[in-house]
Amino acid sequence: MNKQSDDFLHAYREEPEAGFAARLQGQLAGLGPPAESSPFMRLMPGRAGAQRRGAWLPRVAALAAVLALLFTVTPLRALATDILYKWGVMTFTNDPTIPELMAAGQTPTPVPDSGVGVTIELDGQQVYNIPKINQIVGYPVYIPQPTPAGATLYDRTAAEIGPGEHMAVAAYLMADGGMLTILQHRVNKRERERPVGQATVQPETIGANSGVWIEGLSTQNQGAKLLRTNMLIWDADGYTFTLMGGSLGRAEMKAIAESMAP
Amino acid sequence: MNHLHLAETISVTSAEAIDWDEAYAQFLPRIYNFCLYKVGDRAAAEDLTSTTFIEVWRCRHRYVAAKGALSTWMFSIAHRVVAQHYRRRRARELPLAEAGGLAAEGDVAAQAERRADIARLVERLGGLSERDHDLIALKYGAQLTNRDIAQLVGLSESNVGTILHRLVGRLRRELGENHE
Repeated sequence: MNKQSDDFLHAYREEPEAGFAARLQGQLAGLGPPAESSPFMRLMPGRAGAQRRGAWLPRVAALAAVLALLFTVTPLRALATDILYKWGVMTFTNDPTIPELMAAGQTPTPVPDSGVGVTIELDGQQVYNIPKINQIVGYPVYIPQPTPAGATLYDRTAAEIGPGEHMAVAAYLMADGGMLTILQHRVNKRERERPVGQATVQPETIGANSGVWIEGLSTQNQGAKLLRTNMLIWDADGYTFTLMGGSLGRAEMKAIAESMAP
Repeated sequence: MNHLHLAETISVTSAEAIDWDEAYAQFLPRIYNFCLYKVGDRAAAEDLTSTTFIEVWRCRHRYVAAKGALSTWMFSIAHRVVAQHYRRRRARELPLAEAGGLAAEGDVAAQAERRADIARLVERLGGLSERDHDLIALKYGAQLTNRDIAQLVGLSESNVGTILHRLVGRLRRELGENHE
């Protein structure tokens, strides 16, 4: 498992001493029991299990920054000159991605009206079911049908990306340890661009719809480590869909994309 | 609920329905580490943890599940207890001198290195603004989600994520961490 760059902050945690835990238990018990419970009298049941689960935290938390940076877009006036491919209202340029700028020690300046800049934490704590996510985002959320082989739904949530505008997010853990993330939001007609650095951008067809395949895009985890991911973006039925994952190839992504249905 | 995450497994509708044994098991290490990341001193962290749990226990009937998660309520108390500690002392604790007195594992050299690492981190944390120090302690000491932290400190979830992202990068650079 890859080490994340914020592991050093988690590493300073320590367990309270058993003697302290026992003393505090006794102190609390001395305050008098409640009517329907004996307070704090068992010695930390289930602690080992909790620690094992907690070990996943740094890796999962890293996804938040990845998504945030992918969906930070810049206004037209900041356009670079080298336009790779224009798809609908989205323009791709060879500008360094925001993660690449940050990794180089630069601090990109957010522009208030630049569109979507959202951080999403995929923590798996509250996985919405389909009726609930539909209710939150206000439209039918598409899912791959069937679920991709070896994939396990890890999280399904929603993020507010504008006034009254929500994006549906689903994250799947893949059998090889990778992650597949699916994003869906209403087609946004605002002019926008997406710097892709040296990633390759090629047109792709998903069913009867056109889209783009981006390979080798730099993203960043919660610390500063650059990661490579692939993305497939397309519009269909009034929605923009994005599939991204580092371990899936173009053909696999396209198959998943074509299986998406409400 | 996904089994991979240290999730809040306590779902309650009233204080009486809370499994306090389970709550103690889940929150003792997290509140202790929140305090440790804040004050940088093990003895003080234990005192503040005790004060927090006593306060929680005494005020348990005030907890209303409909108003928020148990974790949010408990950490709001811990946050207040730590703030009171600072006000009383009118100055921050010195960096954790004996922070490395951790579980006796590994050889002496490894323990000494860990002790030095922790002392450096605590010193850096002490140099952060109060808000930033809170965010680090809540995220890495208490292991709260950005969503929970946002509720506690009155920022948006997105803002918490952005600030933490920059803080981690800054601390990493300042500490010269080799965590590539």
